[in-house]
Amino acid sequence: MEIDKQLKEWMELYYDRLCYVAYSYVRDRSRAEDAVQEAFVNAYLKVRQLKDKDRPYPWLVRIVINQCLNTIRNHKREKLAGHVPERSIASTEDVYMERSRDREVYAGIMSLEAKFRMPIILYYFEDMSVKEMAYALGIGEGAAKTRLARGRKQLENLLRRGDSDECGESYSSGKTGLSPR
Amino acid sequence: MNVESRIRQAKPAYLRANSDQAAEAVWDKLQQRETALVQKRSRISRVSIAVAAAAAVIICLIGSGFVSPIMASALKQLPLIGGLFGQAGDAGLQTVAEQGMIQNVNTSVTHNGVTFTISDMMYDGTRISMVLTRETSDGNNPPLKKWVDKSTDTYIAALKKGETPSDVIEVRANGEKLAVSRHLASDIMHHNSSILTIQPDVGVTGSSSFDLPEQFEFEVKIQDATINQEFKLGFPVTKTTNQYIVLASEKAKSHGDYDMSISKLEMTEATMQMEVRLDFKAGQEMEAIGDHLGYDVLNERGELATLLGGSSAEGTDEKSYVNVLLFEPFKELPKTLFVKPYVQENKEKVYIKELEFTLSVQ
Repeated sequence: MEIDKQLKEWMELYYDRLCYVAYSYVRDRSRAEDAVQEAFVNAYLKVRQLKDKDRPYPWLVRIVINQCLNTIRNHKREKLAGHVPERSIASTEDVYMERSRDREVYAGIMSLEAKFRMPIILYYFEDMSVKEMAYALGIGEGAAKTRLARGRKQLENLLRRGDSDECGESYSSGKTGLSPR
Repeated sequence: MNVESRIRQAKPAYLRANSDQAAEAVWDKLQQRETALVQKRSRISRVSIAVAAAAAVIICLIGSGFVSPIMASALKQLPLIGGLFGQAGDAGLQTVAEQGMIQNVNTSVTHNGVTFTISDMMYDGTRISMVLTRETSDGNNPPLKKWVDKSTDTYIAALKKGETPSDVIEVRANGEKLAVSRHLASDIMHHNSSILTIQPDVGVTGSSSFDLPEQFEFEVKIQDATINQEFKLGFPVTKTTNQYIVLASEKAKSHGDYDMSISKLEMTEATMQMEVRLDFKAGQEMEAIGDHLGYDVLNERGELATLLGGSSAEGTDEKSYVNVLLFEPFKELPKTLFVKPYVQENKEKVYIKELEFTLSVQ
Protein backbone atom coordinates (compact mmCIF):
# COMPACT_ATOMS: atom_id res chain seq x y z
CA MET A 1 0.00 0.00 0.00
CA GLU A 2 1.27 3.48 -0.77
CA ILE A 3 2.45 5.44 2.23
CA ASP A 4 -0.13 8.21 1.86
CA LYS A 5 -3.04 5.76 1.97
CA GLN A 6 -1.29 3.87 4.73
CA LEU A 7 -0.94 6.98 6.84
CA LYS A 8 -4.60 7.84 6.34
CA GLU A 9 -5.61 4.34 7.41
CA TRP A 10 -3.38 4.46 10.50
CA MET A 11 -4.85 7.80 11.47
CA GLU A 12 -8.35 6.40 11.26
CA LEU A 13 -7.41 3.31 13.24
CA TYR A 14 -5.03 4.64 15.84
CA TYR A 15 -5.27 8.41 16.21
CA ASP A 16 -7.56 8.41 19.26
CA ARG A 17 -5.67 5.56 20.95
CA LEU A 18 -2.34 7.27 20.42
CA CYS A 19 -3.72 10.55 21.74
CA TYR A 20 -4.53 8.74 24.95
CA VAL A 21 -1.04 7.21 25.18
CA ALA A 22 0.48 10.66 24.61
CA TYR A 23 -1.89 12.21 27.12
CA SER A 24 -0.84 9.74 29.79
CA TYR A 25 2.72 10.98 29.23
CA VAL A 26 2.35 14.74 28.83
CA ARG A 27 -0.94 15.16 30.79
CA ASP A 28 -2.21 17.94 28.58
CA ARG A 29 -4.69 17.31 25.81
CA SER A 30 -3.51 19.84 23.26
CA ARG A 31 0.14 18.88 23.77
CA ALA A 32 -0.84 15.23 23.43
CA GLU A 33 -2.60 15.84 20.12
CA ASP A 34 0.30 17.91 18.91
CA ALA A 35 2.73 15.13 19.83
CA VAL A 36 0.63 12.55 17.99
CA GLN A 37 0.41 14.72 14.88
CA GLU A 38 4.19 15.23 14.92
CA ALA A 39 4.57 11.48 15.43
CA PHE A 40 2.48 10.77 12.32
CA VAL A 41 4.73 13.14 10.38
CA ASN A 42 7.76 11.19 11.66
CA ALA A 43 6.05 7.91 10.79
CA TYR A 44 5.42 9.18 7.27
CA LEU A 45 9.04 10.22 6.84
CA LYS A 46 10.45 7.01 8.33
CA VAL A 47 7.92 4.45 7.15
CA ARG A 48 10.57 2.29 5.53
CA GLN A 49 11.98 1.61 9.00
CA LEU A 50 8.78 -0.20 9.98
CA LYS A 51 9.63 -3.88 10.18
CA ASP A 52 6.36 -5.59 11.15
CA LYS A 53 3.95 -4.20 8.59
CA ASP A 54 1.13 -6.37 9.91
CA ARG A 55 1.31 -4.79 13.35
CA PRO A 56 2.42 -1.17 13.11
CA TYR A 57 0.91 -0.10 16.44
CA PRO A 58 3.96 -0.73 18.70
CA TRP A 59 6.13 1.16 16.22
CA LEU A 60 3.70 4.09 16.22
CA VAL A 61 3.55 4.06 20.03
CA ARG A 62 7.35 4.16 20.15
CA ILE A 63 7.40 7.22 17.89
CA VAL A 64 4.68 8.90 19.96
CA ILE A 65 6.58 8.28 23.20
CA ASN A 66 9.79 9.69 21.73
CA GLN A 67 7.84 12.72 20.61
CA CYS A 68 6.36 13.12 24.10
CA LEU A 69 9.83 12.99 25.64
CA ASN A 70 10.90 15.73 23.24
CA THR A 71 7.82 17.75 24.17
CA ILE A 72 8.55 17.44 27.87
CA ARG A 73 12.23 18.25 27.36
CA ASN A 74 11.46 21.31 25.23
CA HIS A 75 8.90 22.49 27.73
CA LYS A 76 11.46 22.24 30.56
CA ARG A 77 14.02 24.07 28.42
CA GLU A 78 11.55 26.85 27.62
CA LYS A 79 10.68 27.11 31.28
CA LEU A 80 14.34 27.41 32.22
CA ALA A 81 14.81 30.07 29.58
CA GLY A 82 11.78 31.89 30.94
CA HIS A 83 9.82 31.67 27.68
CA VAL A 84 6.78 30.15 29.32
CA PRO A 85 5.28 30.89 32.71
CA GLU A 86 6.20 28.57 35.53
CA ARG A 87 3.52 25.92 35.76
CA SER A 88 3.29 22.21 35.73
CA ILE A 89 3.20 20.48 32.36
CA ALA A 90 0.28 18.42 33.63
CA SER A 91 -3.25 19.78 33.54
CA THR A 92 -4.97 19.90 36.88
CA GLU A 93 -7.90 17.81 35.70
CA ASP A 94 -7.57 14.53 33.89
CA VAL A 95 -9.91 14.68 30.88
CA TYR A 96 -10.09 10.88 30.71
CA MET A 97 -10.95 10.38 34.39
CA GLU A 98 -14.70 10.55 33.95
CA ARG A 99 -14.48 8.13 31.03
CA SER A 100 -13.11 5.37 33.25
CA ARG A 101 -15.37 2.76 34.82
CA ASP A 102 -13.07 2.54 37.86
CA ARG A 103 -11.89 6.02 38.66
CA GLU A 104 -10.14 5.03 41.85
CA VAL A 105 -7.85 2.64 40.01
CA TYR A 106 -7.49 5.03 37.10
CA ALA A 107 -6.41 7.82 39.42
CA GLY A 108 -4.00 5.43 41.11
CA ILE A 109 -2.39 4.53 37.80
CA MET A 110 -2.05 8.15 36.80
CA SER A 111 -0.42 9.00 40.12
CA LEU A 112 2.42 6.53 39.50
CA GLU A 113 5.76 7.68 38.15
CA ALA A 114 5.83 7.59 34.32
CA LYS A 115 8.26 4.68 34.23
CA PHE A 116 5.76 2.52 36.16
CA ARG A 117 2.61 4.12 34.74
CA MET A 118 3.40 3.58 31.06
CA PRO A 119 3.98 -0.20 31.21
CA ILE A 120 0.58 -0.59 32.91
CA ILE A 121 -1.15 1.53 30.29
CA LEU A 122 0.51 -0.20 27.36
CA TYR A 123 0.07 -3.72 28.73
CA TYR A 124 -3.42 -3.54 30.23
CA PHE A 125 -5.10 -0.71 28.33
CA GLU A 126 -3.42 -1.05 24.95
CA ASP A 127 -3.20 -4.85 24.95
CA MET A 128 0.45 -4.93 24.03
CA SER A 129 2.63 -7.95 24.78
CA VAL A 130 5.68 -7.56 27.05
CA LYS A 131 7.89 -7.69 23.97
CA GLU A 132 5.91 -4.98 22.17
CA MET A 133 5.75 -2.84 25.30
CA ALA A 134 9.52 -3.14 25.79
CA TYR A 135 10.07 -2.13 22.18
CA ALA A 136 7.71 0.84 22.44
CA LEU A 137 9.41 2.04 25.61
CA GLY A 138 12.89 1.41 24.26
CA ILE A 139 13.87 -0.84 27.16
CA GLY A 140 14.74 -4.52 27.52
CA GLU A 141 12.03 -7.13 28.09
CA GLY A 142 13.39 -7.88 31.57
CA ALA A 143 13.19 -4.22 32.56
CA ALA A 144 9.69 -3.98 31.09
CA LYS A 145 8.49 -6.95 33.16
CA THR A 146 10.11 -5.55 36.31
CA ARG A 147 8.54 -2.11 35.82
CA LEU A 148 5.15 -3.66 35.14
CA ALA A 149 5.33 -5.77 38.30
CA ARG A 150 6.59 -2.86 40.43
CA GLY A 151 3.93 -0.53 39.04
CA ARG A 152 1.22 -3.07 39.81
CA LYS A 153 2.61 -3.54 43.33
CA GLN A 154 2.68 0.21 43.97
CA LEU A 155 -0.88 0.46 42.71
CA GLU A 156 -1.99 -2.34 45.03
CA ASN A 157 -0.37 -0.53 47.95
CA LEU A 158 -2.10 2.70 46.98
CA LEU A 159 -5.47 0.97 46.76
CA ARG A 160 -4.92 -0.80 50.08
CA ARG A 161 -4.09 2.48 51.77
CA GLY A 162 -7.12 3.99 50.06
CA ASP A 163 -9.33 1.24 51.50
CA SER A 164 -8.06 1.87 55.04
CA ASP A 165 -8.68 5.60 54.62
CA GLU A 166 -12.16 5.06 53.25
CA CYS A 167 -13.98 5.78 56.54
CA GLY A 168 -15.13 9.25 55.62
CA GLU A 169 -11.91 10.37 53.92
CA SER A 170 -11.63 10.92 50.20
CA TYR A 171 -8.54 10.02 48.19
CA SER A 172 -8.08 13.48 46.88
CA SER A 173 -7.31 14.74 50.36
CA GLY A 174 -5.16 11.79 51.26
CA LYS A 175 -1.52 10.89 50.69
CA THR A 176 -2.03 9.41 47.27
CA GLY A 177 -3.82 12.26 45.61
CA LEU A 178 -6.44 9.84 44.26
CA SER A 179 -9.91 11.02 43.41
CA PRO A 180 -12.95 9.35 44.97
CA ARG A 181 -14.59 6.61 42.94
CA MET B 1 -11.93 -8.43 42.14
CA ASN B 2 -8.17 -8.74 41.73
CA VAL B 3 -6.02 -5.77 40.80
CA GLU B 4 -5.45 -6.89 37.21
CA SER B 5 -9.18 -7.09 36.52
CA ARG B 6 -9.69 -3.70 38.10
CA ILE B 7 -6.91 -2.19 36.00
CA ARG B 8 -8.55 -3.52 32.83
CA GLN B 9 -11.87 -2.09 33.95
CA ALA B 10 -10.26 1.29 34.59
CA LYS B 11 -9.36 1.72 30.93
CA PRO B 12 -11.06 4.96 29.86
CA ALA B 13 -13.10 5.34 26.69
CA TYR B 14 -11.04 7.27 24.15
CA LEU B 15 -11.95 10.82 23.28
CA ARG B 16 -12.98 11.03 19.63
CA ALA B 17 -11.05 13.56 17.59
CA ASN B 18 -12.38 15.24 14.49
CA SER B 19 -10.63 13.04 11.93
CA ASP B 20 -10.75 15.61 9.10
CA GLN B 21 -9.18 18.28 11.29
CA ALA B 22 -6.58 15.83 12.57
CA ALA B 23 -5.63 14.78 9.02
CA GLU B 24 -5.45 18.40 7.94
CA ALA B 25 -3.16 19.21 10.89
CA VAL B 26 -0.85 16.30 10.08
CA TRP B 27 -0.51 17.28 6.41
CA ASP B 28 0.14 20.89 7.41
CA LYS B 29 2.87 19.79 9.81
CA LEU B 30 4.33 17.57 7.12
CA GLN B 31 4.45 20.48 4.73
CA GLN B 32 6.07 22.71 7.37
CA ARG B 33 8.63 20.02 8.18
CA GLU B 34 9.54 19.48 4.53
CA THR B 35 9.89 23.21 3.99
CA ALA B 36 12.09 23.49 7.09
CA LEU B 37 14.22 20.56 5.91
CA VAL B 38 14.68 22.11 2.51
CA GLN B 39 15.70 25.41 4.12
CA LYS B 40 18.01 23.69 6.59
CA ARG B 41 19.68 21.34 4.18
CA SER B 42 19.77 23.28 1.00
CA ARG B 43 22.13 26.03 2.03
CA ILE B 44 24.55 24.31 -0.26
CA SER B 45 25.22 27.36 -2.35
CA ARG B 46 27.69 29.84 -1.00
CA VAL B 47 28.38 33.21 -2.50
CA SER B 48 31.83 33.45 -3.98
CA ILE B 49 33.65 36.73 -3.60
CA ALA B 50 36.42 35.79 -6.00
CA VAL B 51 34.38 35.96 -9.17
CA ALA B 52 34.05 38.33 -12.06
CA ALA B 53 32.23 41.52 -11.13
CA ALA B 54 29.12 40.93 -13.25
CA ALA B 55 28.59 37.46 -11.87
CA ALA B 56 29.27 38.64 -8.32
CA VAL B 57 26.46 41.19 -8.66
CA ILE B 58 24.11 38.52 -9.95
CA ILE B 59 24.86 36.13 -7.13
CA CYS B 60 24.89 38.66 -4.35
CA LEU B 61 21.54 40.06 -5.39
CA ILE B 62 19.99 36.66 -5.83
CA GLY B 63 21.59 35.40 -2.66
CA SER B 64 20.03 38.25 -0.73
CA GLY B 65 16.62 37.16 -1.96
CA PHE B 66 15.85 40.49 -3.59
CA VAL B 67 15.54 40.93 -7.32
CA SER B 68 13.58 43.92 -8.60
CA PRO B 69 11.69 43.42 -11.90
CA ILE B 70 14.02 45.84 -13.69
CA MET B 71 17.12 44.23 -12.28
CA ALA B 72 15.73 40.74 -12.96
CA SER B 73 15.40 41.66 -16.61
CA ALA B 74 18.96 43.01 -16.63
CA LEU B 75 20.28 39.92 -14.88
CA LYS B 76 18.88 37.68 -17.57
CA GLN B 77 21.09 39.43 -20.12
CA LEU B 78 24.26 38.64 -18.17
CA PRO B 79 25.89 35.24 -18.64
CA LEU B 80 26.88 33.28 -15.56
CA ILE B 81 30.60 33.19 -16.15
CA GLY B 82 32.05 29.72 -15.63
CA GLY B 83 28.71 28.07 -14.89
CA LEU B 84 26.69 27.87 -11.70
CA PHE B 85 28.99 25.39 -9.91
CA GLY B 86 31.92 27.76 -10.20
CA GLN B 87 29.92 30.86 -9.30
CA ALA B 88 27.42 29.78 -6.71
CA GLY B 89 28.34 26.27 -5.66
CA ASP B 90 29.80 25.39 -2.26
CA ALA B 91 33.60 25.23 -1.93
CA GLY B 92 33.66 21.58 -3.01
CA LEU B 93 31.72 22.23 -6.22
CA GLN B 94 33.88 25.24 -6.96
CA THR B 95 36.98 23.07 -6.59
CA VAL B 96 35.73 20.41 -9.00
CA ALA B 97 34.65 23.17 -11.42
CA GLU B 98 38.16 24.69 -11.26
CA GLN B 99 39.75 21.28 -11.77
CA GLY B 100 37.52 20.52 -14.75
CA MET B 101 35.99 17.50 -13.06
CA ILE B 102 32.39 18.34 -13.86
CA GLN B 103 30.48 16.55 -16.60
CA ASN B 104 28.83 18.70 -19.21
CA VAL B 105 25.51 16.91 -19.69
CA ASN B 106 23.39 19.51 -21.46
CA THR B 107 20.22 17.51 -21.80
CA SER B 108 16.84 19.20 -22.23
CA VAL B 109 13.19 18.24 -22.51
CA THR B 110 10.41 20.58 -23.64
CA HIS B 111 6.66 20.21 -23.07
CA ASN B 112 3.96 22.88 -23.53
CA GLY B 113 6.48 25.69 -23.89
CA VAL B 114 8.48 24.77 -20.78
CA THR B 115 12.02 23.43 -21.05
CA PHE B 116 13.94 21.78 -18.22
CA THR B 117 17.68 21.51 -18.77
CA ILE B 118 20.36 19.77 -16.77
CA SER B 119 23.67 21.26 -17.84
CA ASP B 120 26.61 20.49 -15.53
CA MET B 121 26.73 17.60 -13.10
CA MET B 122 29.16 16.06 -10.64
CA TYR B 123 29.14 12.62 -8.96
CA ASP B 124 31.80 11.68 -6.41
CA GLY B 125 30.22 8.66 -4.72
CA THR B 126 28.60 10.64 -1.92
CA ARG B 127 26.43 13.12 -3.80
CA ILE B 128 25.14 13.89 -7.28
CA SER B 129 24.97 17.62 -7.89
CA MET B 130 23.59 19.13 -11.08
CA VAL B 131 22.60 22.49 -12.48
CA LEU B 132 18.87 22.56 -13.18
CA THR B 133 17.33 25.27 -15.35
CA ARG B 134 13.69 25.93 -16.25
CA GLU B 135 12.92 28.14 -19.24
CA THR B 136 9.64 29.21 -20.80
CA SER B 137 9.10 29.76 -24.52
CA ASP B 138 7.77 33.29 -23.92
CA GLY B 139 11.21 34.20 -22.59
CA ASN B 140 9.91 35.26 -19.20
CA ASN B 141 11.71 32.43 -17.39
CA PRO B 142 9.99 32.87 -14.03
CA PRO B 143 11.98 32.13 -10.84
CA LEU B 144 12.48 28.46 -10.13
CA LYS B 145 10.80 29.00 -6.77
CA LYS B 146 7.43 29.40 -8.51
CA TRP B 147 7.64 25.91 -9.99
CA VAL B 148 8.87 24.44 -6.66
CA ASP B 149 6.13 26.11 -4.61
CA LYS B 150 3.31 25.24 -7.02
CA SER B 151 4.44 21.63 -7.44
CA THR B 152 4.91 21.16 -3.68
CA ASP B 153 1.47 22.66 -2.94
CA THR B 154 -0.12 20.39 -5.56
CA TYR B 155 1.66 17.38 -4.08
CA ILE B 156 0.43 18.16 -0.57
CA ALA B 157 -3.12 18.88 -1.80
CA ALA B 158 -3.20 15.47 -3.50
CA LEU B 159 -2.00 13.82 -0.28
CA LYS B 160 -4.77 15.52 1.66
CA LYS B 161 -7.30 14.06 -0.76
CA GLY B 162 -5.93 10.59 -0.12
CA GLU B 163 -4.32 10.35 -3.55
CA THR B 164 -0.82 9.08 -4.24
CA PRO B 165 1.02 11.79 -6.15
CA SER B 166 4.40 11.30 -7.84
CA ASP B 167 7.44 12.85 -6.16
CA VAL B 168 8.18 16.36 -7.42
CA ILE B 169 11.67 15.07 -8.27
CA GLU B 170 12.33 11.34 -8.61
CA VAL B 171 15.65 9.80 -9.63
CA ARG B 172 16.58 6.41 -11.07
CA ALA B 173 19.92 4.71 -11.70
CA ASN B 174 19.93 1.96 -14.35
CA GLY B 175 16.13 1.94 -14.11
CA GLU B 176 16.01 1.45 -10.31
CA LYS B 177 14.31 4.14 -8.25
CA LEU B 178 16.75 5.53 -5.66
CA ALA B 179 15.83 6.37 -2.07
CA VAL B 180 17.29 9.84 -1.85
CA SER B 181 16.99 13.26 -0.33
CA ARG B 182 16.91 16.17 -2.76
CA HIS B 183 18.19 19.65 -2.08
CA LEU B 184 17.76 22.70 -4.25
CA ALA B 185 20.06 25.54 -3.34
CA SER B 186 17.53 28.04 -2.02
CA ASP B 187 19.92 30.99 -2.20
CA ILE B 188 19.78 30.97 -5.98
CA MET B 189 16.27 29.61 -6.54
CA HIS B 190 15.00 33.11 -7.27
CA HIS B 191 16.61 32.85 -10.66
CA ASN B 192 15.47 30.14 -13.08
CA SER B 193 18.54 27.96 -12.40
CA SER B 194 19.66 26.29 -9.22
CA ILE B 195 21.90 23.48 -8.00
CA LEU B 196 20.07 20.26 -7.30
CA THR B 197 21.90 17.87 -5.01
CA ILE B 198 20.88 14.25 -4.57
CA GLN B 199 22.10 12.19 -1.61
CA PRO B 200 21.17 8.75 -0.26
CA ASP B 201 18.32 8.77 2.25
CA VAL B 202 20.20 7.23 5.15
CA GLY B 203 16.92 6.42 6.91
CA VAL B 204 16.12 3.99 4.11
CA THR B 205 19.47 2.83 2.78
CA GLY B 206 21.30 2.70 6.12
CA SER B 207 24.33 4.28 4.45
CA SER B 208 25.40 7.79 3.58
CA SER B 209 27.14 6.61 0.39
CA PHE B 210 25.58 5.51 -2.87
CA ASP B 211 25.77 1.83 -3.72
CA LEU B 212 26.23 2.45 -7.42
CA PRO B 213 28.73 1.37 -10.07
CA GLU B 214 31.40 3.73 -11.43
CA GLN B 215 29.18 4.35 -14.46
CA PHE B 216 25.41 4.18 -14.76
CA GLU B 217 22.42 5.55 -16.65
CA PHE B 218 20.73 8.26 -14.63
CA GLU B 219 17.17 9.53 -15.00
CA VAL B 220 15.60 12.57 -13.35
CA LYS B 221 11.80 12.74 -13.38
CA ILE B 222 10.35 16.17 -12.67
CA GLN B 223 6.71 17.05 -12.04
CA ASP B 224 5.73 20.54 -13.11
CA ALA B 225 2.35 21.36 -11.57
CA THR B 226 2.22 24.78 -13.23
CA ILE B 227 1.50 23.01 -16.56
CA ASN B 228 0.54 19.62 -15.13
CA GLN B 229 3.32 17.86 -16.99
CA GLU B 230 6.04 15.31 -16.26
CA PHE B 231 9.58 15.74 -17.60
CA LYS B 232 12.09 12.89 -17.95
CA LEU B 233 15.75 13.73 -18.41
CA GLY B 234 18.25 10.91 -18.85
CA PHE B 235 22.03 10.85 -19.21
CA PRO B 236 25.03 8.65 -18.41
CA VAL B 237 26.94 9.39 -15.20
CA THR B 238 30.57 8.60 -14.42
CA LYS B 239 32.11 8.86 -10.98
CA THR B 240 34.78 11.51 -11.18
CA THR B 241 37.16 11.80 -8.30
CA ASN B 242 40.93 11.63 -8.06
CA GLN B 243 40.91 11.68 -4.30
CA TYR B 244 38.83 9.29 -2.25
CA ILE B 245 39.88 8.89 1.38
CA VAL B 246 37.83 7.04 3.96
CA LEU B 247 38.60 7.30 7.67
CA ALA B 248 36.91 5.69 10.66
CA SER B 249 37.39 5.72 14.42
CA GLU B 250 39.22 2.69 15.77
CA LYS B 251 36.85 2.19 18.66
CA ALA B 252 33.69 3.62 20.14
CA LYS B 253 33.65 6.13 23.00
CA SER B 254 31.04 6.17 25.76
CA HIS B 255 28.94 8.92 27.24
CA GLY B 256 25.92 8.34 29.47
CA ASP B 257 23.72 5.65 27.98
CA TYR B 258 25.32 5.49 24.57
CA ASP B 259 28.51 4.76 22.64
CA MET B 260 29.65 6.88 19.72
CA SER B 261 31.83 5.89 16.79
CA ILE B 262 32.70 7.50 13.48
CA SER B 263 31.75 4.78 11.08
CA LYS B 264 32.93 6.68 8.03
CA LEU B 265 34.48 10.02 7.17
CA GLU B 266 34.81 10.34 3.40
CA MET B 267 36.89 12.99 1.68
CA THR B 268 36.77 13.73 -2.03
CA GLU B 269 37.69 16.92 -3.83
CA ALA B 270 34.02 17.95 -3.65
CA THR B 271 32.79 16.59 -0.36
CA MET B 272 33.71 15.86 3.23
CA GLN B 273 31.01 13.68 4.70
CA MET B 274 30.94 12.15 8.16
CA GLU B 275 28.71 9.31 9.33
CA VAL B 276 28.45 9.02 13.11
CA ARG B 277 26.91 5.99 14.75
CA LEU B 278 25.35 6.10 18.20
CA ASP B 279 24.69 2.80 19.97
CA PHE B 280 22.26 2.99 22.84
CA LYS B 281 21.88 0.62 25.77
CA ALA B 282 18.15 1.31 25.54
CA GLY B 283 16.32 2.86 22.62
CA GLN B 284 14.21 5.30 24.61
CA GLU B 285 16.16 8.53 24.28
CA MET B 286 17.71 7.68 20.93
CA GLU B 287 16.03 10.20 18.69
CA ALA B 288 15.94 12.92 21.32
CA ILE B 289 19.70 12.64 21.90
CA GLY B 290 20.70 11.89 18.30
CA ASP B 291 18.87 14.89 16.88
CA HIS B 292 20.38 17.31 19.39
CA LEU B 293 24.04 16.50 18.87
CA GLY B 294 26.22 18.81 16.82
CA TYR B 295 29.75 18.24 15.56
CA ASP B 296 32.68 20.54 14.96
CA VAL B 297 35.39 19.19 12.68
CA LEU B 298 38.76 20.98 12.75
CA ASN B 299 42.06 20.43 10.96
CA GLU B 300 45.51 20.50 12.56
CA ARG B 301 45.63 24.27 12.11
CA GLY B 302 42.46 24.74 14.13
CA GLU B 303 40.37 25.70 11.08
CA LEU B 304 36.72 24.76 11.43
CA ALA B 305 35.02 22.92 8.56
CA THR B 306 31.89 24.65 7.26
CA LEU B 307 28.75 22.58 7.73
CA LEU B 308 26.56 22.36 4.63
CA GLY B 309 23.79 20.14 5.88
CA GLY B 310 22.92 16.97 7.66
CA SER B 311 20.39 14.27 8.30
CA SER B 312 19.77 11.61 10.89
CA ALA B 313 17.91 8.35 11.10
CA GLU B 314 17.31 5.36 13.30
CA GLY B 315 19.76 2.54 12.57
CA THR B 316 18.79 -0.86 11.29
CA ASP B 317 19.02 -2.63 14.65
CA GLU B 318 16.57 -0.46 16.65
CA LYS B 319 19.18 0.56 19.22
CA SER B 320 21.39 2.64 17.02
CA TYR B 321 21.08 6.08 15.52
CA VAL B 322 23.01 7.55 12.61
CA ASN B 323 23.96 11.19 12.06
CA VAL B 324 25.26 12.20 8.63
CA LEU B 325 26.98 15.57 8.25
CA LEU B 326 28.08 17.14 5.00
CA PHE B 327 30.93 19.69 5.22
CA GLU B 328 32.80 21.81 2.76
CA PRO B 329 36.19 20.17 2.20
CA PHE B 330 39.26 21.98 3.56
CA LYS B 331 41.22 23.90 0.94
CA GLU B 332 44.20 21.61 1.50
CA LEU B 333 44.08 17.97 2.46
CA PRO B 334 44.46 17.94 6.27
CA LYS B 335 46.97 15.75 8.10
CA THR B 336 44.74 15.30 11.13
CA LEU B 337 41.07 15.84 11.84
CA PHE B 338 39.60 16.59 15.26
CA VAL B 339 35.93 15.76 15.77
CA LYS B 340 34.29 17.55 18.70
CA PRO B 341 30.68 16.59 19.44
CA TYR B 342 28.59 19.07 21.36
CA VAL B 343 25.10 19.90 22.54
CA GLN B 344 23.64 23.36 22.30
CA GLU B 345 22.58 24.88 25.60
CA ASN B 346 21.24 28.44 25.68
CA LYS B 347 22.82 29.06 22.27
CA GLU B 348 26.23 27.97 23.63
CA LYS B 349 28.09 24.90 22.41
CA VAL B 350 28.82 22.55 25.30
CA TYR B 351 31.48 20.10 24.10
CA ILE B 352 31.38 16.49 25.26
CA LYS B 353 35.06 15.85 25.99
CA GLU B 354 34.82 12.09 26.36
CA LEU B 355 33.41 11.77 22.83
CA GLU B 356 36.14 13.70 21.02
CA PHE B 357 37.97 11.85 18.24
CA THR B 358 41.30 12.44 16.52
CA LEU B 359 41.61 10.94 13.05
CA SER B 360 44.93 10.74 11.26
CA VAL B 361 44.63 11.28 7.51
CA GLN B 362 48.11 10.16 6.44
